[in-house]
Amino acid sequence: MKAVCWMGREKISVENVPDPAILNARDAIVKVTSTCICGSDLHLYDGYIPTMQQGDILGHEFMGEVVEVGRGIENNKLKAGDRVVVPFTIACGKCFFCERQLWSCCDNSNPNYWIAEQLMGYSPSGLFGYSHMMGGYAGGQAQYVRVPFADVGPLKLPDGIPDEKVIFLSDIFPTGYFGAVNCNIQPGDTVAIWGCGPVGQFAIRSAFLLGAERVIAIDRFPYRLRMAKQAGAETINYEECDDVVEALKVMTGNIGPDSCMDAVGMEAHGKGFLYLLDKAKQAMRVESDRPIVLRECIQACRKGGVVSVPGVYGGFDDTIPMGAFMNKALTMKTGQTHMMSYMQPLLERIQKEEIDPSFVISHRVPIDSAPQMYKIFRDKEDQCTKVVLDPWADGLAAA
Amino acid sequence: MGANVEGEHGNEHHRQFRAIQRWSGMVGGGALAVYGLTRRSRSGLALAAAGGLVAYASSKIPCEGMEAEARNSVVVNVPAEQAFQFWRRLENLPSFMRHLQSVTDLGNGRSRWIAFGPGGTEVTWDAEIVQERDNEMISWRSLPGSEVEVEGSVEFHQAAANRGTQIDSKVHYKATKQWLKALLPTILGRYPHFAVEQDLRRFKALLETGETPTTEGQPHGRRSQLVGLSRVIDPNQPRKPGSYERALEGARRRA
Ligand SMILES: NC(=O)c1ccc[n+]([C@@H]2O[C@H](COP(=O)([O-])OP(=O)(O)OC[C@H]3O[C@@H](n4cnc5c(N)ncnc54)[C@H](O)[C@@H]3O)[C@@H](O)[C@H]2O)c1
Ligand SMILES: [Zn+2]
Ligand SMILES: [Zn+2]
Repeated sequence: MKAVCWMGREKISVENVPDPAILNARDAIVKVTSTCICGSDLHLYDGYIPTMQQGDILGHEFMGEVVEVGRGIENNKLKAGDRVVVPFTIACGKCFFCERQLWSCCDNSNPNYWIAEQLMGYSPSGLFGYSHMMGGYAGGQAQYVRVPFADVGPLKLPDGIPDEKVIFLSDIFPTGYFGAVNCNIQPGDTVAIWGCGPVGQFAIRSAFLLGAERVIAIDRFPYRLRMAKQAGAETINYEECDDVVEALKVMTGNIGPDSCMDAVGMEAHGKGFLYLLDKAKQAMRVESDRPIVLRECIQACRKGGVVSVPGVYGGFDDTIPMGAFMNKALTMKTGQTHMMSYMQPLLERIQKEEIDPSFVISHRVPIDSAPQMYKIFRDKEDQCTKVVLDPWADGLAAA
Repeated sequence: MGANVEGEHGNEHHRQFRAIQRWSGMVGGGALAVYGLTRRSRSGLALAAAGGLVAYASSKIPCEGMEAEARNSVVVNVPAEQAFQFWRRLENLPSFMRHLQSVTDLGNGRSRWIAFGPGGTEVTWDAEIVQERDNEMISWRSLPGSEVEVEGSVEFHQAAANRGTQIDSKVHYKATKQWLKALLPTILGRYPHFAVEQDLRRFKALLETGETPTTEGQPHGRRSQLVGLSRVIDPNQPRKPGSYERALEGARRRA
């Protein structure tokens, strides 16, 4: 089959690899009909997530048709022929954490838990296509993929609803929604959201769905800010203003946003001395992340407010304004999304036409174009917001 | 580890040593790994692999000397009865203890254990149940005359707040002759505490989910030579003594 492989930093290639097979009783094999490139994949592309190995198959946003299930899966749960969208977190459904719906913290799905424990104390769940520290599972930017614990994650889809409306249930729609849920939005609240990428876009719309009165969206790309405006957000282009924290203060009558969301993560862009310092430290590998947005969120948030962090961080971060965080009595909520709690309710919202997630797609291309598309998406060229790959379209032959 | 570091004092010393090792290795090794992995060159990957090694090895105490003891515990989200019964059927042990090929029940509380030895050989011993209390504990030991003397025990306690069953497991291995001491790391892995920890995690996954998570046998694209090295440092693989050092040496030469 064809699969998008990580061959090193900024090196992606579409390779011919063997088809996946059932390895455990609760596995399923899914024939992929649509798969996407995520902002999280860019952290791999840029080489900031450790424990990637040359040849790893990428991708954690995918959907398709079940072609085979292991003998441990009951027929009423999942069977060949079912059309499914698969969450990017792998969860067993039985452990302490799964029982408490902390799906992305599942205790039993990461065979390499011991590597993650070195870095984090305890290991989060396994993820598709996201480094050996996170399980080393082959990803879904491929024609077929093996899905472990397939009786827990995959959401069965009704016929008739096109891929492009439901593919984002695999990650970014629930992630934006989870980011907004974590904001603990009360009627009339103002939510500030850094990052108008796909996650930010879904977060903006989710914040309104959850009752926010005002959403203030922050980015530097006009086409992304335009998309945020279309959802009803006010916007700040941080390149055109001296100080985002000050601008938010003015916009909120000196109170500050009730909650601040970092939908940017470890590779934030910025300006000024601290940004250059972070960049230098990251280049020298003495700091793993550039927490520019996290710092701004903490500074900008109103007293007693919430900082919600769906943006991904990898390791150790410097100069976090802990004094502001403590003295302003803030709360921080974060995590890889607890996918299984949100997929079904969000599917219902799509069916009721409260939202059509396909708005975010800018590129639909054959899987063979993945290497170029990683670069275009990373560099925000060609007004790129979200890339959907078709694993079966006739493109060039795999390398 | 190695020769009996026991008693309160020994344990305290051991804990501190482990903590220091863990943190120093983590910061240094972790940074090295991140640094190496984010460089483009081949030597970058070697650095990454080496960094991974430092981070991994520093939190483990190696197996040396004539004796090895290891213990660990885990909370499993099932009733004590279920955990006890699974363990008590000794034939089940190889399903989560990677160093074992098979355990056969010989009747009368006796059993034959076959472990993976060096270079594809087998190490065999017969054992007997010393004591057992339903749903509470089991202990066993090898019969006199075994080349490797083995003692093991496992206890099952109800975990706090209805979180299932806390399992405490302990094993003690002793080589009876000097030349047999090389067997210990092949049986127990180079880091016995870690081996027992991994066994217990697999036990937990198996009881809670019916399987142990794996990626062994999944597809991938072209691997670099150095990926072979990381396969060797993968503690899930039963290892031949010295293969780890040889692989590291080879990687150094190539880089
Ligand atoms: N928690 C989860 O489960 C989860 C799931 C998916 C993605 N993510 C993370 O969410 C983040 C965003 O993902 P995406 O797909 O939208 O990526 P993206 O790269 O398309 O979007 C990031 C946006 O942030 C903007 N940005 C950069 N620096 C900024 C700054 N200083 N201030 C304001 N905006 C800034 C960029 O211009 C860009 O538009 C990533 O870190 C990704 O890893 C998390
Ligand atoms: Zn994603
Ligand atoms: Zn679980």
